[in-house]
Amino acid sequence: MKVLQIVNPTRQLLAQIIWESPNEVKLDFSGNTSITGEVSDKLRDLLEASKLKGLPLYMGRKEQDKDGHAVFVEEYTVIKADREEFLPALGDFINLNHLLSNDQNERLFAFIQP
Amino acid sequence: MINYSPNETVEDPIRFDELNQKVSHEFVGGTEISKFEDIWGGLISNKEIADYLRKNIFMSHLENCQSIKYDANPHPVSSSILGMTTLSENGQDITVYAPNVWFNSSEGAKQQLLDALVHEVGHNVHVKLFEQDPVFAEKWKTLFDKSKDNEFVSWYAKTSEYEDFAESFKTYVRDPELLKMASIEKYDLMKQIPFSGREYNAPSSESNILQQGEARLKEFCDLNKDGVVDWKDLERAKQEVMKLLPEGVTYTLSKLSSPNAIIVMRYLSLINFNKSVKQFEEFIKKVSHK
Repeated sequence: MKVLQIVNPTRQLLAQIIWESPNEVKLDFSGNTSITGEVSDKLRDLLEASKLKGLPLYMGRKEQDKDGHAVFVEEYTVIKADREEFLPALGDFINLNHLLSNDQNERLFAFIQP
Repeated sequence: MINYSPNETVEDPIRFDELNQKVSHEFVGGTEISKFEDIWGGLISNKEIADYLRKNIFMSHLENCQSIKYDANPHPVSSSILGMTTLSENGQDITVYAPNVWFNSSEGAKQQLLDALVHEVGHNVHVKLFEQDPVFAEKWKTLFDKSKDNEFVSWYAKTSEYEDFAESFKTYVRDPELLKMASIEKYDLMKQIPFSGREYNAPSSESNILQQGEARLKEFCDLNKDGVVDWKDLERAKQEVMKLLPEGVTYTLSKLSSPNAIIVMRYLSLINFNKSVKQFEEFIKKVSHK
């Protein structure tokens, strides 16, 4: 099981997205009373769209070119919900796109639970 | 056999045009910026890239970086490659490839390209810094080793201390709020050494810029349902807008009527202030004649 935590700028936990093998992903707002309908709808929509289309996960490697020079290569791969990297990809997507809670106009951040 | 006379000139205008395109480039310090004119839809130009770097990156960050170029052809090994930095005995070369299609808007694609570019510049910085400042290298490695999963700015940053540096470097410039949230220690170290105390407050997403622009707008005027503007303080609004104009724009907003001034403010709230001066002037001309 992997957990992606959705927090506000003061690191208050607003929601959790839980991934379980083989491809189960669910949103959990348990016990959080500060989350509004708009934020939960936004996260639900994002999750459904991501499950359907997949998400880009940025990655890379260090390699050598044909002349023996070191090369840092940056690339992306498409991740669907059947991979455990789906949650980190979703977290990167949320952070990159500056999702806002509509009521407070607070930014939402996403971090993998250690 | 064909003999070429030294006085022979080429008169074919198409060939001249091709030549002009090939030599089109900008320099930021000793770094050549080229081929961004080849990008689809005129998304960004060499000049815009050069202006962005001049505004946001220190010249020392580009030391030993010979070139930054866009490659319109997909990488031969994988079409999903976004960028690369090649380290050779002569210095570093950065190549940026086409943005992927996850962004619906050209603004999103542009931001992704700039993200990739600043990440690669981060590699250029780490190569020098890790070699010349072993104390910094050790501090960064220690921070990387002790970081928990929620103390990285991205999944990619977790893969090595070099990628963590390049990702954190990019985030320090492009989204400082996120780096502070992930790790205030990494933020402070970035601030102290590679950025010599300079801090950024440059939101990079459309939604964030729009939000800030709209909030700023509310300070100066009320908008009723029909979009009619009720100015609270038009003069102050104009002064504020003047502060936001890209460097080099000489146009004065006193020539604009109130409705046009508000269009300008809205426009400014939507762009990331890196648009070329020419584009901005064209826009002003257009709204001035409405």
